[in-house]
Amino acid sequence: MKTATKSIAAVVPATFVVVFFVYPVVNVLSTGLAGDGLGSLAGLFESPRERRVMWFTVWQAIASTALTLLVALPAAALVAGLSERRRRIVRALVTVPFVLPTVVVAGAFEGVFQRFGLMSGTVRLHHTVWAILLAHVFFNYAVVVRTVGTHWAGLDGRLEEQARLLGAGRWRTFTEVTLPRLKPAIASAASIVFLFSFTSFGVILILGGAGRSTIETDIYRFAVTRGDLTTAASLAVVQIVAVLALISLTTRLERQRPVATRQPRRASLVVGRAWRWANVSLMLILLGTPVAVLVERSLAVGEGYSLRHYGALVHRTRQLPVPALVAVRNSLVFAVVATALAVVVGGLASLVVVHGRRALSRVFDLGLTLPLGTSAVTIGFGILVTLDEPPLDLRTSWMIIPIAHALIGVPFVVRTMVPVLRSIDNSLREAAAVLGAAPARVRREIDLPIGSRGLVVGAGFAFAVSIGEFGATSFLPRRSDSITAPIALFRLLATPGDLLRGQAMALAVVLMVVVAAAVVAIESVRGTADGGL
Amino acid sequence: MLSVEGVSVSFGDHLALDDVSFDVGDNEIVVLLGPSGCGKSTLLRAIAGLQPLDSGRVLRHGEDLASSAPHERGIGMMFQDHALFPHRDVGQNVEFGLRMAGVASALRSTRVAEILELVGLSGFERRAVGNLSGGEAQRVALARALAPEPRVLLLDEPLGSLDRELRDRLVEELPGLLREVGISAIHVTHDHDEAFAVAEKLLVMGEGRIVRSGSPTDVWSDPRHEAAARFLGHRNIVEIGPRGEVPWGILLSDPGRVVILPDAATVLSDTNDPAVRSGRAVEVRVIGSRFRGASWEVDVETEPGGARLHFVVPAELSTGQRVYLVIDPSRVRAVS
Repeated sequence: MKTATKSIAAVVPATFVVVFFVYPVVNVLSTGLAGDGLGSLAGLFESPRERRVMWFTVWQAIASTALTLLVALPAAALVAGLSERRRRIVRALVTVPFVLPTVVVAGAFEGVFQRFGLMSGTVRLHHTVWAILLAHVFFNYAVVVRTVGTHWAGLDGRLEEQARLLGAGRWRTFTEVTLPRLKPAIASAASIVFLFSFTSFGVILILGGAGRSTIETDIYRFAVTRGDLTTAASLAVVQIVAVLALISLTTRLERQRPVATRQPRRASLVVGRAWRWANVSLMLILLGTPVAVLVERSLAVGEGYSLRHYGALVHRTRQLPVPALVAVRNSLVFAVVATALAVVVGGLASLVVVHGRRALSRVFDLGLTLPLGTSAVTIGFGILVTLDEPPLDLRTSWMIIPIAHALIGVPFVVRTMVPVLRSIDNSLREAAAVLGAAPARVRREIDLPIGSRGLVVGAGFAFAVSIGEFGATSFLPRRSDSITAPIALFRLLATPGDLLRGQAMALAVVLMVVVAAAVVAIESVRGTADGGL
Repeated sequence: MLSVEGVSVSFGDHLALDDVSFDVGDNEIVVLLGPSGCGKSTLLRAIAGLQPLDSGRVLRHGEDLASSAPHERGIGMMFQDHALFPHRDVGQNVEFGLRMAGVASALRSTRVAEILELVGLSGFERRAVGNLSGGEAQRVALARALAPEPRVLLLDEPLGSLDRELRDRLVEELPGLLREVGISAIHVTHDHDEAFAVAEKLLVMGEGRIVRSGSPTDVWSDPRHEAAARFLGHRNIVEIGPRGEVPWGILLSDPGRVVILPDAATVLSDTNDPAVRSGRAVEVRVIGSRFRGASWEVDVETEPGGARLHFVVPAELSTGQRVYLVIDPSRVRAVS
């Protein structure tokens, strides 16, 4: 690369992340610590209510992680034993819940509770911690199945065969030969699930009810509902510190994670038929029920079924400034803009990570992963309190929403692009050079076309993330006409009444279909090469 | 045509190339033979401009290539494992160099068809490279390297990934093909059979240096350097003591290390042979014998635990048999 193009590749992503992420987050930190900052921070830890909130944040994340591993590890084993083609299908199916908007999932679970009479009575799940845990398992199931399952499938099955021949039983073989090799993948998946549960927002806000708060939802409550920005900022400081600690732990685990050696031989998993069916049934019930009930609820009108709720989406209601369908259109527009931004920023950044000097590469790799771990609420809150004055007054501009979404989408683009670019055999670049391609031409002829598959996958994720983004966006739409579909859905869900609930379900189904289409597109270009997420 | 002058390259403390010099003539096929890690691939990469030099020069027709980037050198290279572009079909792979040179599209397709015909793959243009067999991929790689008509072609273990049978066939074809095109070539391999079959000039490399060069026959029958001898497959490398206590009936003016070529021994069938009586023959015991079709390979020793030698003989000897051998002194070479 010529120096000029090289510096553009580095400057664009760096500027983007610094202006829209680092600066706002630092601003939140300094607000949280300003004046009597340390005092108010200490006050948080002295307040029994906030201590309860922090404790709840931690233990629900631990419980969610444990439950998810318990339910999803057998499924990972199942996936590992499938043929490549079937594995791709299952992987695509379990990924749909993962990218479903949190608000849609929360809506689906509300639908399930309503349908099966769990809203009240002896077995009440509505507004309980169980609702939260179930939704977290639903979401993060894919993380474990994909990360561990893919890794498992890449293990050389001959080692297990050798162990069996040396006299180890099935269980001994698993605990002594398979499990040690899976440990890094399991640890990595567990830390991601923990991080997601720790920073979970929409699920807790909707399914937990008023009585259950985490740090994340409390930031929202203080900032938006009560207008107490100082306390919100102090909470955000706690959240940022906790998340940074978690991320540094995660990256350390990631570094330990060995590259799965891809062997032509499939890992031989001799599992009983009953066990296999039990697993598939559990997968279908867990992942299928909320989705099926959501569709059913969206069609249920009185005693029968009709499309009336869908029809209502084009009309205005008191709860929304615009018809729900306009919110969907807004979301689509924002998602397209956000995806374009994320692709440009993330694509350039990936080139820097792969081809840049080592120090620069490390800084970019870490710096562009941070927005993924940082809670969406912190990002939204940061932008809200920071970009509200000249020269960057974006409060009233609709651009602020796609920018925030792109910020969250960039890590997905980088994380899918970098492994693809790294996997390009350097001799291909050298072959092109020897055949007369100048360095810039080599990027265009080799890196770009081969990397474009990763770019498409990353773009698909960025799109799905933007469509469903709720945490950051809940701070942002200062203009009524730029309301997004998840925000509209949240408002509909928050208002009691059967009619509105039906409409909410219909809107959730529409969102789900859009996101599912994006996932199918991702999986169809993804091919066989695949990293973790 | 191409001259390498005093080229050195080091990776940290490791000296990968140590003052390497040699010339390649017009249309000459030079083979670099050496064990893996001896620096032969590094040397190719240095010539192609993919590896910066610590010192020395690479000249083409007397012109120093130091200031030319790899894409400006007009040197073709065939990579180990071929490095075919997976996102392009056979035709697009072959025409890549022509496209970089700005050759017009119509001309390109004619040239691609020609060169594919030359390597025996007519009509393969639209095939995906992922579906090619090993031999086909190797030919496509060759076609791609040849298409822009480079003046020098570098081949880095081009047959390394192929199975024995295919390799033998291509070893026979390759020199003819290169001569037909009329190109200077540097071919890197670690297989001495392949080297002998392809080379007009053979350079044996060891630990970053060229230890012996010459025609394949000269190099094989007089390796001069112990490492070269070992690498060429010679097993009879022995220490000859001072005159008077010479085993094996070999008379050398100076004691030292020698390589005894495997065809140096004659088996005496008659124990009354004058050579036996005069003491020029030596009695050995056969400790191993392998049938090789046209000949037999035998391992022999003078006394249990003594030096073992390896010879190729025309008739069968069975294990355990005791025979007399005469060594031809002209087939014994001193090595350093």
